[in-house]
Amino acid sequence: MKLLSIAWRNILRNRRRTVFTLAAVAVSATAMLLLGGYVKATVRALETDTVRQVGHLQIMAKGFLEFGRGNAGRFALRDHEAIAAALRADPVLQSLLVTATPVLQVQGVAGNYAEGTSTNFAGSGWDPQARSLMLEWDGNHMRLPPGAVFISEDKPHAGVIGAGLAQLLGLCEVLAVKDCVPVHQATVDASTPVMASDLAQLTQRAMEPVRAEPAEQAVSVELMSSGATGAPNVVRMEVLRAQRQGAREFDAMFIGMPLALAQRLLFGPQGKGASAVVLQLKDSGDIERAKARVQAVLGTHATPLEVHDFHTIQPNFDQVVAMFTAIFRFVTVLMAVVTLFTVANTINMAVNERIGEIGSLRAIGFTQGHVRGMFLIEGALIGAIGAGVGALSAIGLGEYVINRSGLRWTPPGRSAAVPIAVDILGNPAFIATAIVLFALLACASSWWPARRASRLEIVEALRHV
Amino acid sequence: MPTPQTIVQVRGVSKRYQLGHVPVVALAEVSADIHANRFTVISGPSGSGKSTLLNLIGSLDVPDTGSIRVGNDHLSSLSDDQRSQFRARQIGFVFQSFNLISVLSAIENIEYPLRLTDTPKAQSRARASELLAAVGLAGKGHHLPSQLSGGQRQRVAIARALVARPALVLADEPTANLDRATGEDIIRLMRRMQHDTGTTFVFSSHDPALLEVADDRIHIVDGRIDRVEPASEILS
Repeated sequence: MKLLSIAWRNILRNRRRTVFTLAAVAVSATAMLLLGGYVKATVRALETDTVRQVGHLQIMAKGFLEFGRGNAGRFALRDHEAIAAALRADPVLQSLLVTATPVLQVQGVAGNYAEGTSTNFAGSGWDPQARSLMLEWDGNHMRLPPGAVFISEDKPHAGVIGAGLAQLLGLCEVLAVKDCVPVHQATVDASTPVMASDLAQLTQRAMEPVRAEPAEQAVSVELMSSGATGAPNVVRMEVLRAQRQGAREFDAMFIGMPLALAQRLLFGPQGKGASAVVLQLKDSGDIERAKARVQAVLGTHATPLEVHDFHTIQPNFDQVVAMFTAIFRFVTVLMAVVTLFTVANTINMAVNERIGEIGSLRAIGFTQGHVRGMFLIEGALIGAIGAGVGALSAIGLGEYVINRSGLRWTPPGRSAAVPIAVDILGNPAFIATAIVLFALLACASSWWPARRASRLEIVEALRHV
Repeated sequence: MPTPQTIVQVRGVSKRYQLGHVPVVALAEVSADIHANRFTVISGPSGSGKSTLLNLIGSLDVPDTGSIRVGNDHLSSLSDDQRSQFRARQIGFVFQSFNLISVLSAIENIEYPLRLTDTPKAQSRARASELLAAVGLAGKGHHLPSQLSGGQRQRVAIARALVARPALVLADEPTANLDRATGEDIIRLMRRMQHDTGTTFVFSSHDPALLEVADDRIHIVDGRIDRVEPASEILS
């Protein structure tokens, strides 16, 4: 207490210098807290988007992640309905789940034979209702608008394609896609049949048992894929709209369709199967608990299964988080260096100005430890007060300016813009950590001048003018 | 007449300083006794070593050779921290430049040494107030040193030196920075305080006014004791 009171008065002694030092620490703390709050809010928004797209957990046949794309039939879960039903019925999972729904990944060739264009596609088939539920998930309370679902049970033949895919298939105009370059007409040979006769036959055969076909005037594409048995299947899909995707490569291949259509493409008219059963939880914090429970429920399943969380399914999420974390750490280190040098300079000047006084204090009984402690406390007070002011300014700027500005941006690899937001008040531990960190930093930067002060020869110090 | 009790015993003390590359002998084989409850002045011309002797007795510095005992404390056996504790308990200092802590008020300056001895705050405040009144500054307790005159600052310094009831008060040229009248006031005050508290006062000074009121005088020339008068005894 004796040191604290004298240290406190000493930092008020040269007020102008103290104000400048506090300002430097406060700006550093503000920058660190704002960036930290921004990273936290962005990661939560990304997590929301990721969980909406791929759920929290996916149950799939063992080896699907590595080889499933190359042999969808072999790795398909033929009993996905039974699996999903068992999970929904489990009393533990019931309280954790938003939905348990199948998804079928399918790839092949998409053709717009009217334009004489075709290209590879990678699509996924979803249950429209469950998909709608998934895209509403807001477990992180980000208040992001729900993702748009264009597939519906009313239109079992209809799906959406990426804007890039629409461009490749020459559907820019009919789908009214913005920033879309029309296909160069000269590349189309007018004498070429719009569809090869064997493909036309396949399409016809595939369509036969289906009651609701795309209307003649609807925009449609032919999708051809290697079926589960290796034989090619073709379906015609009505294109409801083009939906731009975040990554150019994905945008040029994306197709979203109803599960039934994807199943027909892969397994034929009567085929059933799914690549995975997707579990979306109410709370991301329950992932490990839910995973353990799923493994317990499905432990006796006939075929070996794997349960993966979204970090494994969507490694891009962790990469983006790692990038933001690295930027945050880099800026924090920069701010720490600024604080270190600023406070060290201030305390060093204070020592130089108070050499005589240090001699007096030593004469009346201050030990070297007392002198060292006095300057360390001065540094710590400057750090803590500066960081406190910085925290207040970060809260003011973040919560009342940035979060209300309505600014948005599209994170890498995403199609939907997210609000530019900072989350500081939601994490009081982060604020406390920042204040303690800056106090410790300032304390550390005071160490050397404090040590120098404590080692001054008393007689020399007393003679100092 | 009873034999006066020795409170400070200096034996064969030498001290050299380095002035640039030139070694300077400040004290050479000095031995002396200082008697308790007396008003002793160490006098001599500038650079004679009187301040050095005072600093060594006050454990602000350590001798190159020789030993010093103050009361029962043998200073050469004390560590740096122990010397600090020794100063806090046993020594009060009065400096030529007052050396008050500028951020503390007069009363806080006076009570601060007691804070180092963990004396309860109320008790240390009461003791400080008592001394503030004793040095004639009642009512000035909340003034900062910068708001006090030179004489008033030195009064505060004297009160600070006495607050922990030390065995010894060491004053290094306490009147050198004061005008004649104020200096005489300060000498009278110290004499009275010495009389009232029974504390041993040792000064370094060449102020004739101070020399006149001293009980004992130790005269140093060129780092050696030239003469002692009338009561202290030169041992070598």
